[in-house]
Amino acid sequence: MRRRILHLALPCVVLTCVVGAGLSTVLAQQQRDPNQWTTYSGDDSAQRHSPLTQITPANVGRLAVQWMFQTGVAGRLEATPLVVDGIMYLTGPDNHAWALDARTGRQIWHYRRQLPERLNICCGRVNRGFAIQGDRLYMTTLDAHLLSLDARTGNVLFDVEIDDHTKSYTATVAPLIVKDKVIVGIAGAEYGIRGFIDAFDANTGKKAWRFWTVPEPGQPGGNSWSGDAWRRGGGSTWVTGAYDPSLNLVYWGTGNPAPDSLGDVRPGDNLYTDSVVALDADTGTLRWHYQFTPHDVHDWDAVQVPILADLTINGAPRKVLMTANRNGFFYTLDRTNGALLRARPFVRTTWAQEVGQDGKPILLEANRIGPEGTVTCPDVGGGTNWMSPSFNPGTGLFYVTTREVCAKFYAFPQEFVPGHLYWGGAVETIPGEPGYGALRAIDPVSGLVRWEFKYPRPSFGGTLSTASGLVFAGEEDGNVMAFDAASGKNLWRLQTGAGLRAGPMSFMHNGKQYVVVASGQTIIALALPDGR
Amino acid sequence: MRTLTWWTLTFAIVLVTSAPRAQQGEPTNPFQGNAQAIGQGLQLFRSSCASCHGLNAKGVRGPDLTTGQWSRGGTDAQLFRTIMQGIPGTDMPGAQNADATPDQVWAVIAYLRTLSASASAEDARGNAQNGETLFFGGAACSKCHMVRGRGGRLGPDLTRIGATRSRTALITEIRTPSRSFTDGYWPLTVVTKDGRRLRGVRKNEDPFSLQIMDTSEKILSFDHSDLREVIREPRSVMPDYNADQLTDAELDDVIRYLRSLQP
Repeated sequence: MRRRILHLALPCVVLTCVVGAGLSTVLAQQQRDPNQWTTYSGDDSAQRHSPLTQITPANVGRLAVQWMFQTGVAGRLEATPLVVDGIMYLTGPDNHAWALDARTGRQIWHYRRQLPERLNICCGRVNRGFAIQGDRLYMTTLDAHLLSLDARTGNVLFDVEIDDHTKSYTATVAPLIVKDKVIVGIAGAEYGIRGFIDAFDANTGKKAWRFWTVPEPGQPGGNSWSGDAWRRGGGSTWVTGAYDPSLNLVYWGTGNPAPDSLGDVRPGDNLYTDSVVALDADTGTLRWHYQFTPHDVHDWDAVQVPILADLTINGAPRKVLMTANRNGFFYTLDRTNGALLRARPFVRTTWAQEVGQDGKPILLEANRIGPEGTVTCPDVGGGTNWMSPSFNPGTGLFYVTTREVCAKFYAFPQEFVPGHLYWGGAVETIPGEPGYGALRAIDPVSGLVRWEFKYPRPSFGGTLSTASGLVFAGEEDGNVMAFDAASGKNLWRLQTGAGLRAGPMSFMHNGKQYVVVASGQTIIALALPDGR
Repeated sequence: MRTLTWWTLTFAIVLVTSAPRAQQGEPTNPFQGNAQAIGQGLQLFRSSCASCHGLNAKGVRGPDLTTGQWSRGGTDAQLFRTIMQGIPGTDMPGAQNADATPDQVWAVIAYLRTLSASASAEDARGNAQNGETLFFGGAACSKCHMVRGRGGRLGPDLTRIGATRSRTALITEIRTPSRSFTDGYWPLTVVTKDGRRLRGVRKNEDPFSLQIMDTSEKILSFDHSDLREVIREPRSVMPDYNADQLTDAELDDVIRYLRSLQP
């Protein structure tokens, strides 16, 4: 009903390297067992695309709840559970974690971390999930540690500090396993941390390498800062990245510079904040970067999950990285070198006219903020945010929950005080303009929105694509929904009673395909009643 | 990294009568007078509270916080409880629902303590008894609004409105009610497939269903698929009470009446 084909009359950049459309090969699925869900985004390419085909557009109307697991823990679930060999592994608020029988939802074990009484956490005591290798689980903690748990018991195998929580470092990210390493990110930019991406030995917990997302003076990128602003320059890395084994590169999004709004104290582009960085998986060495929002003053983290795929563009195969950015633009990059192939707004944007040939945004007056306030679109929540997008190699479409909201941004002088929030500004909602949300399907070659399904409210639910041609998505008013991936037609829905803030996943057990969503404090497993 | 946080929520602190009076054994603000904490509180206030209370804390939809008077109690412990837990039945959410830490709330209180001034002389304007007569009579406010169990249901219950809105906000909402709408009261018209048009206010909505109260105070539920159109009305169901319909003196009376209602 609320679906329509869109051809948004939005400004765009069309670079000479991308003319004409086409889609070909699927990125190698890295020996993925389609029955399991072993990493945050499903596989290293982060497509959040399940190869399973038992649930189809033809039968999804019969999808039914198989079981529910009530965590009983205050706060909201933002985690994607993992499933290996019939056991589900889930993390929750305040670093609770569980193992469940994936067939019945019955608890196997429950882990709870004793956290320090005083933690500087800007944005929710959440966690986004486990990583797993063999029978070892890995999770980050609000006091900025990396834990390894025994998958069979929940016992702690190692507990290492990522960084000092008394310096406002915290962690909510689901780790990423790359060969023998556990890759993690950090949070805390709102308190003026200096961000990084770390790799640890998966067996011992020993630090393997660190990549600072904010370089020192004298290092490459160091001249994009002024004075000692780099010491508290932000650049958090709080959502899981992706990995291309053929290039041995880890791709990870970075967050806003600090202070969020007061750009005057940090003149320059503020590398590598609001960027995607491509790192050598063995050493953490930076191979390339692309900065989406130079000198950000709107808190538009670029931590959105980067999706890797192989597309045919102009008749030639291209290894691409796709991301719908919080700043409102959708980007397709060449992931071998970071070259921009396409950038086009996917929501209303008033801060930049377009992305220029040099890959930098051409700024508009609404990008400038000060003490008098400026109305800018998108709002601080962004055109999208941490909610996981997905990509279907069959349709060639990128599915993402989008937000159409504007806000009034202010910048105010503020001194940095360790342990205190360091924003240098404020954000006001606009009376009478609450905005709305939409699930959108974007063609990554053209950047055009191919279909959308509107939500009354801006939402933060993730999406899941399946090889049978379905897209699952959640929204703020409690609905989990299935759509035809090609047309956007809504095929099924369930009102779960609480907003969905996590990405759905899918697995197969005993011949039955399950789709799992997190709603409020509850995990819900869905399947066809008879498995057919 | 800000995403959905208590900072992006708005929360109100309610003014009115009682002066701060600490109870024995109650916690007091560990950051009282602490310059760094006050600066932190200022930042938090601007980012979290300003949407309702205004950047200068003089009140927008939420009350003026510079008068030094607080309807839910003005001791440190009472303010802490009000901010952390919110006020049921009002627009004031609890900061605890968005993971605020105790230190952050204390910092906001430390900042608020620097703002206190004497109550505005304007608060003494008007005659409450005349205001009550107008509310239930000539101004017909009670046709849509309830106070202490008397009145209509189409608009918000106003029993507590005087304690949760500044005088400035009340004037704005009476003179120009279409400037903004509260959740649960967005005006709309639904057009059914057989062409019937029903005007009312939205109680809830998701992508598939819509719940409204129509102008006869009936609760109606629709599937979007059964409707031809949902028209989001730019104008409130409530008329603009301009000076022809409510003189400035009468407006003062109505506001004085609303602000005289003790929760």
